Amino acid sequence: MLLSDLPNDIIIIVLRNFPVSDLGALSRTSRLFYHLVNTYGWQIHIRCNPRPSFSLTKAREIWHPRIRLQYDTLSDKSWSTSHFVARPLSHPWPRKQQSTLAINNTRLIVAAGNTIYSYAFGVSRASGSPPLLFEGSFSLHEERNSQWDITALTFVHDNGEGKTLLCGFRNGTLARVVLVKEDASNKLALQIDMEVDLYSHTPDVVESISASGSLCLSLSSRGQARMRNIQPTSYTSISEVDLATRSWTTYISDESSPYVAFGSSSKIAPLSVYSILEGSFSSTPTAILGIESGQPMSHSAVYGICRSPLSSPWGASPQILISGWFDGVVRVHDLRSSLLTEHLSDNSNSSGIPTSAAPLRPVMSLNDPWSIEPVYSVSSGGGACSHLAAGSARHSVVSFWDIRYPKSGWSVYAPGNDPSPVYSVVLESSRVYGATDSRPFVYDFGPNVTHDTYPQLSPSPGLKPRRSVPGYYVTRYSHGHAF
Amino acid sequence: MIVLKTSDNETFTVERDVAERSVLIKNMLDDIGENSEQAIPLPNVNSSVLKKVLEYCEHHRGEPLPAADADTSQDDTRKRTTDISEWDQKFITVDQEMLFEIILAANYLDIKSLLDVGCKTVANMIKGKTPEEIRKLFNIVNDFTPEEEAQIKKENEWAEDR
Repeated sequence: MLLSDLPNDIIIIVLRNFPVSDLGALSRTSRLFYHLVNTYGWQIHIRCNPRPSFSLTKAREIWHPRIRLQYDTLSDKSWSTSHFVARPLSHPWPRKQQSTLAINNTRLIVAAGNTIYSYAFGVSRASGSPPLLFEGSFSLHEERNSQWDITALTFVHDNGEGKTLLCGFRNGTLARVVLVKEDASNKLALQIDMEVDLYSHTPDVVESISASGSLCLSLSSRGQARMRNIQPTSYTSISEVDLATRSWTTYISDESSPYVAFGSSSKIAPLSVYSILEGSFSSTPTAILGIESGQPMSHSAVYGICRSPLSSPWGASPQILISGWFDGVVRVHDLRSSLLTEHLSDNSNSSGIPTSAAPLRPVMSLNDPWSIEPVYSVSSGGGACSHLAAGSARHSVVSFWDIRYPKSGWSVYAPGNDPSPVYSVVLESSRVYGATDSRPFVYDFGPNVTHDTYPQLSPSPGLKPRRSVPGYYVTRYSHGHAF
Repeated sequence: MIVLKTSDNETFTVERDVAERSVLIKNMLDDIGENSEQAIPLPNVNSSVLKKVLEYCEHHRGEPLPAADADTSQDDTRKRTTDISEWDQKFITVDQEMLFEIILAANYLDIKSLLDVGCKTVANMIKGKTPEEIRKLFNIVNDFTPEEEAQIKKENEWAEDR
């Protein structure tokens, strides 16, 4: 009996254990194995090594599995050597303003002031890098009135159409924004649906909005949190909780054991987790996530929360949470773990937290040793699907860590060196989108990026084009060893 | 005790918990009931292979069986192909013919851990080898034209290690 005599379904199981290089070698041995690797091998490898991304989704649907895996393999290599193309996505905005990003499989939305800027994801043939096309910008309010500045933004469930945003404003208003293509010109037109005004946070600022499945979660700056199910349900569709503290950010996970997480400046619970049961918050936090043992939490705050990358050392569980803190540390908490911090001896009982809610210790803490700035935004994904990105509160710095090698982090300034926070960061398999107070930008680790992959910009002060690649010079530094 | 009958009409008498390492046999036993004296026919396995498979089952008896719907994607991929226990490695050091027969039998009898050991062994044999070395190892005839061969080499250049 020969290897080639094994039935295909067994060969497929064998191929599951193959690294890319061995798949390549096997496919070069004979027609039969070329056929098997091309039909099953690449596909199996992709399924076992997912590289989720938004902006590549459409292109990947039409790419042959070999092209998809080629793209992933080359991206992973670029991540491991920190090779990327840095591009601003626009000229600096007329004035500095807080910005935020929203993304789905169709487009990237950048909101700054009361304007939204839309970038559509294109499709590329063969192994070209799928382009990003600027669609247009739209003001959501006629007057230049900072009360109508967009302070929070997310795409929400709309039966897969991917054109509906939930938008929060400084004056507390929540509005549904639907992006519609005009038939004739293919130009993007905008329709604003203000019906949901009913549920405003006025007079508070809408600080954060997040959505998962059909659940939408909004949080005001004073800690009023409200969760709604935007699809008809048999149970209560609105649930509220008052954190009663200056609050910053939300995260919602609606997979198995759904929960929400809130980041705030609370002295006792800057990062609290509430489980969701039938669309409602638990009445008290199910977990308080703390810092390393022996340190007081009272001077901290949490500004950014995301899920862990799929290939984290703790597995792909949605119960692993990443958070960015005031002290510049990115912490990883495993909600399944039982590493409670010991009660601080002096005032443990005056805090009012029952023992069951003693803070959970992080399972990993990461920081840029050269920076003391707070972390404003976090995201996960990247090469090998094991990276974290953190946007700093100053100097437009983004830090990266491969959480399999937490000591080998590095940081990079945004193109243009804006003296600004990185308010928002979105990490995909090969691309990192970020936004400062002046412009959105991208770092692209994928192969075959050309001048046309991203909107071309006329020469601009502070931006120096690189000769060898179609991007701009940016300054980067390693957290430990030199590059 | 359970009686198993192979394709070449040999019978093996084994203890139930050893035989039940095979999900196929376990399901059959559940179907025919506790007290049947009937031999269980295994028309896809010959006696030399079954002997080997039962040796494996004997050694691993009592170990927890993997869940039927165990997720094979995420967590499995992080295990490197080399992580076969010492006993298993010695056990699976057989000629190619027997290795493929064991893989086939493990698949038919539904013994996931053995199928895994077999498949990983094949993967380890191929690991790091050139196409020519793989051909030699498995007696594969190169039926590409030189043009096709050059074309496919180019097509797969990205997959090479360096």
